[in-house]
Amino acid sequence: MLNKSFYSFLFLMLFTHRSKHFSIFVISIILVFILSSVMFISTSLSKDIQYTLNSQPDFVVQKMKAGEVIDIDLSLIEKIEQIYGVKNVTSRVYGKYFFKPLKQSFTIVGVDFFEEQNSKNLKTLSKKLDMSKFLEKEYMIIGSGVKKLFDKFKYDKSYFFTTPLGESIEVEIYDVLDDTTSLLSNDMIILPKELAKIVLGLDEFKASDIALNVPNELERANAKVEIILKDDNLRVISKDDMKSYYLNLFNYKTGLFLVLYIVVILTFLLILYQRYSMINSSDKKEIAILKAVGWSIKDILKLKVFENFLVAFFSFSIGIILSFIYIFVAKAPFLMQIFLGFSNLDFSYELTPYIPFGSIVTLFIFYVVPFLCVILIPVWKIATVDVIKSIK
Amino acid sequence: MIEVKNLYKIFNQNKKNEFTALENVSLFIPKEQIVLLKGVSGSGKSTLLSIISSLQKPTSGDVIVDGEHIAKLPDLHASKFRNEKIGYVFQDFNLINSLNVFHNVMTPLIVQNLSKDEIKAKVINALSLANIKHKKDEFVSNLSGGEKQRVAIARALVCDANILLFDEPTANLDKQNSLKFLSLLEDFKKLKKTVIIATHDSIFEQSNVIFETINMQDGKIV
Repeated sequence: MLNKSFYSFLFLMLFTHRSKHFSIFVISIILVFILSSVMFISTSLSKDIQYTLNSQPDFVVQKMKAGEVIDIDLSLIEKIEQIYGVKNVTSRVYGKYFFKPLKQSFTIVGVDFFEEQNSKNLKTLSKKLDMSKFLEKEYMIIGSGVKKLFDKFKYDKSYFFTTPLGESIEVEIYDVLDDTTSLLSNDMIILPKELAKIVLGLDEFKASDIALNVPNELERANAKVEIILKDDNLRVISKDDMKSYYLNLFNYKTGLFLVLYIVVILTFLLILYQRYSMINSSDKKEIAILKAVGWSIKDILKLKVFENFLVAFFSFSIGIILSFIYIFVAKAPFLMQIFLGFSNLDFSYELTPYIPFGSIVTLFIFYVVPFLCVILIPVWKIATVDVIKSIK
Repeated sequence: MIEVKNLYKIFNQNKKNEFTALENVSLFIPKEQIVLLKGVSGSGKSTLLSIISSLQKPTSGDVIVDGEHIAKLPDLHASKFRNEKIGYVFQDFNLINSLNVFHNVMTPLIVQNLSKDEIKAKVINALSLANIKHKKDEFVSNLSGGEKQRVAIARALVCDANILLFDEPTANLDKQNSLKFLSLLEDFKKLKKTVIIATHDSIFEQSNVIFETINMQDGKIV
């Protein structure tokens, strides 16, 4: 029966029933929009985090005292370098700097630009970086969130840091980090390591932590144990731990949305089922008339399946397209705040467009199949009822 | 040829409100004849028509139409039989109000796997036969009772069914339109259709194309 005239009649019926389908169409778009927005943002964030964390060292070693992180002795570097398989052991300097005008904190990161790994990472982050020029005097590279705040308070060329000893140091802005990296660098100020120590009040022979790489994956577990054996008060964080921390943070929020969505979609399906169960007399009569003129139950179900499939398909597609625009073009206002609320500065983060086709197909199946089922069961019931009764 | 043998139709069987609509009905209607089923309201005329058209199944008995036993046909075959062999015109016409005349008449042809051009030709032909072609683009909700009946007749004729069943065709028509319907019977005779008309209207006594009048009372043929 699936000939051209069937499709013409299908579109004719769809058009004549447009007012009946409109509310379902709109609700469907909203539901798909909400879920796919959450799906797009969480997938994109996860991908970006993985990408950003890939450039991080394999391990970070911190010194703990009474459950808190304290500055670590640089003498430990030598001891760690002796462990088999460990490479690129470097000290890192970072900490919070309180920005009085807005009562907010920046993250200061001190970098030794002569270290090969740091220089490479910085070049990835800042495309304009000319190392020789950068090292001529005291410069800083800032995240996009910091730049916004500096601009607001007219620190467009330089900023005066106040050290814990009360001294004032002027540092010029060399470059602003790209928005695509701002997931982790939004509130970041990158300074030469020695200058960062002064600004943060760190002792000359101390660092915030120690970073290191273990290129051979099989040696990583052993290296971790060996480091801990050097000092009971050391905490060793692997790159995978960091990844899981961030991913769990987003997965937890995605999960909350998912639970809410399931509740909403079940309610929607229930309403849909009730609506079609209480199908009005004109709809019943229409089905009975088609039966009376020679349509079989199968033909009627086919018509209704196609009719409602088109409603579900187009509402699903529009919902997906709108959410894509909302997330990747409009930069997800409101939703971004929910997902990235841990930052202390406003975000101007640009999500990398990523379409999780597998998830979209799964979502489509789990949306359209129940959608069609809840409509078809009552329609089938009506189609099997006595035509004469329905017509009367 | 339509043959009905020992037909029973009992509604709500074995329940408190059991009701026998047809009791041991047997009749024979020869091919290409126009037959009148006469009886008061509730005498079982409409039930008999719905069983002959396979819209309802009998409780027992047999119905043979052109050599085919249709009483117990499964849905798929019953609908095919209805689509190809029966043209049913209901008392209330039962048209789809949200569609225009052309689309209403087209509905039985959608399941016949025909091309668009074939459908168009058949619909125009049926509309011409029923003399309602000039209203083909009109929505049926805007038509008069007589016009609606012509649309229903066009729909019954569109599949070129040999058997036409009319349930109280003049009940919703004024005298002028009822007389017009009588003149249509002559056209059906020329088209060599087998026609059964269930009615209690005496106007049909004026027609000279009626082959036989079968009287019904309390579900029985009298």
